[in-house]
Amino acid sequence: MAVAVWILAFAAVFAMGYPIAMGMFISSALYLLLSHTDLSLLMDMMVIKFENKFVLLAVPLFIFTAKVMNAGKVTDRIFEAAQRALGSLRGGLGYVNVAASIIFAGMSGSEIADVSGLGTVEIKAMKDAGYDGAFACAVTSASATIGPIIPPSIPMIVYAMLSGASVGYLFLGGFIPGFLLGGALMVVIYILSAIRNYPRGEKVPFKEFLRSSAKAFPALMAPVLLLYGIYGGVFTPTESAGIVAAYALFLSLFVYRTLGLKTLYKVVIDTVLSTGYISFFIAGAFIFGYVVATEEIPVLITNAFVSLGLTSSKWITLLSINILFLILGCFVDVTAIMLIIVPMLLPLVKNVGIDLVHFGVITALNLMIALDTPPYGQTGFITAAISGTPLGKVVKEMVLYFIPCEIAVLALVTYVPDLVLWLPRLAGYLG
Amino acid sequence: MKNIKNISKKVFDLLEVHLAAVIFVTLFFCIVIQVFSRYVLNRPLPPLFELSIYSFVWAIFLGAPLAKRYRKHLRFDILYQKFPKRVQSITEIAFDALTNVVLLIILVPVIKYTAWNYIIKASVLRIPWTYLLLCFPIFVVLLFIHNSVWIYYHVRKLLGRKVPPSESWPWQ
Repeated sequence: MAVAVWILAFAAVFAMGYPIAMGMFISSALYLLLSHTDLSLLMDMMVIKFENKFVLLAVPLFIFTAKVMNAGKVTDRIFEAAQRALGSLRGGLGYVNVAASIIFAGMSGSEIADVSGLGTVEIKAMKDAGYDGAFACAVTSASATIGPIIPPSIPMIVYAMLSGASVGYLFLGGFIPGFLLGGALMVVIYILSAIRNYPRGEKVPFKEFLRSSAKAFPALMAPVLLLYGIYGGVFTPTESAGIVAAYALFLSLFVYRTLGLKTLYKVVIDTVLSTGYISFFIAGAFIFGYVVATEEIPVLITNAFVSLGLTSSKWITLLSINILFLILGCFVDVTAIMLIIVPMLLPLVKNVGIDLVHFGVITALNLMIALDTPPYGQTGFITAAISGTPLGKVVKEMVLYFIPCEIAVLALVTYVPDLVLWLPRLAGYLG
Repeated sequence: MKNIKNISKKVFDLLEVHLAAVIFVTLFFCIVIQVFSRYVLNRPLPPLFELSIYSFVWAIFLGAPLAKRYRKHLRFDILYQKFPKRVQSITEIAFDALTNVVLLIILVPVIKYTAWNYIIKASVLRIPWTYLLLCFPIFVVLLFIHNSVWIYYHVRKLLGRKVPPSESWPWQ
């Protein structure tokens, strides 16, 4: 009875468009009520459990960093520096778009922050220079997927909390796939620019290039500070989030002087709002996960994979999980996939001997592709709204050129684990 | 009626916006000061570590009702968007009402558990755990009120009465 109500309540909430986190919360509360379990468990799971999840504190801090960077126009300087460096090539603003995303990726760890902040500048510049809107939107959406692959990464922090994998090794594991994805996107841009004869930007004198690089230099130091801090053993990934946030704040308030106190207060409130719905999702997932574990759902899933013959080798398991993620990603929000589906799959992943760091990076890549895939591809919605380009055109451009490119990188990262594990192993990872 | 609306808005703003903002700023400074103290002054500050976690928990449970107030919680709304406006309103009323029933049922046990935890002390700060857990009953009450306001708003909509734009909080 309790299980039936739990499943029905959650399925109804999910399907009918009510907030998913609320669905996890109320369906699990109903389960506890009907199974005569002490309701205090609700608070043990949703509140007290955070006591030993220090790593999750990084989530609001990285959200804050990204919002400060955007509000303080630090992103404009990054874009300007990339433009001076690469803008004179044919289709140069496409490369600039990718390069700026790679740099921003080293500071924020959030794809949506990249699309909505840096994306606004990128799309405007590309449209002004004569690129068609659909291409500008598609490049911006695709390049933003790099954000959470190159460290820091909010999805990787949440994955680390779920799986027990080391955040540091996960971050290191994301480096090569992130740059690989950036390189692959640049190849697509190169081909499309040649075919469509996209414009070249003006050649920038070396002096001008140096001047813009100098202006962007303090911003470019943020990823250096972050990575030195984590891998130099100076601070934990959570503390690094705080330090980078402080650095972004210092740049915006005192170096660039682009952020006033009034705007800063708005940024803080906006961060609280985002923390509210993202972290409450995590709290909901804690109690939901308790019911999932009590009802032994992961065992059922493992058995289903075994009976379908999908566990005969870890490569087949990974292929089937990738397909599952790609299909789910078309319809379901990535946070829901991370917090509902991934915990159910983790026992299976461990059983078939898949490395948890490797799987974490694959998961992050899958989730980022999910943000691009229609009909639920949020990046397409955001870029189309920013630029005023019809969504259909953006989706067509994404589906024809950029999503296949992302899937190719995913396949490479899945079947060549060293692309992920080489750097962590250099740093002492024994997996 | 207008006065009640204004006072309510001020109370909600005080808790969900201003207090939550202060708590987030506390969290931020706790982390920064902690790193500075440990690596520059060579003096770890465990109370700040604990305070940062407590601040985080409070920020979540004050931010979650705020997100409900502004309809920011993540939804799977592909199907929902296809519904006529009337059906959307009925769905919202049904689920908000169901959530409120659950909130009402859990409220008393939640308050009792929060009070009971007074005997347990935080390991470093030595303050009762009640202060950590208190955010949850507050969250339950705030969420109950927001849901009720949204129900009122959707009922008015169904009855063809004047309503504010759906993206803004009905009391604003």
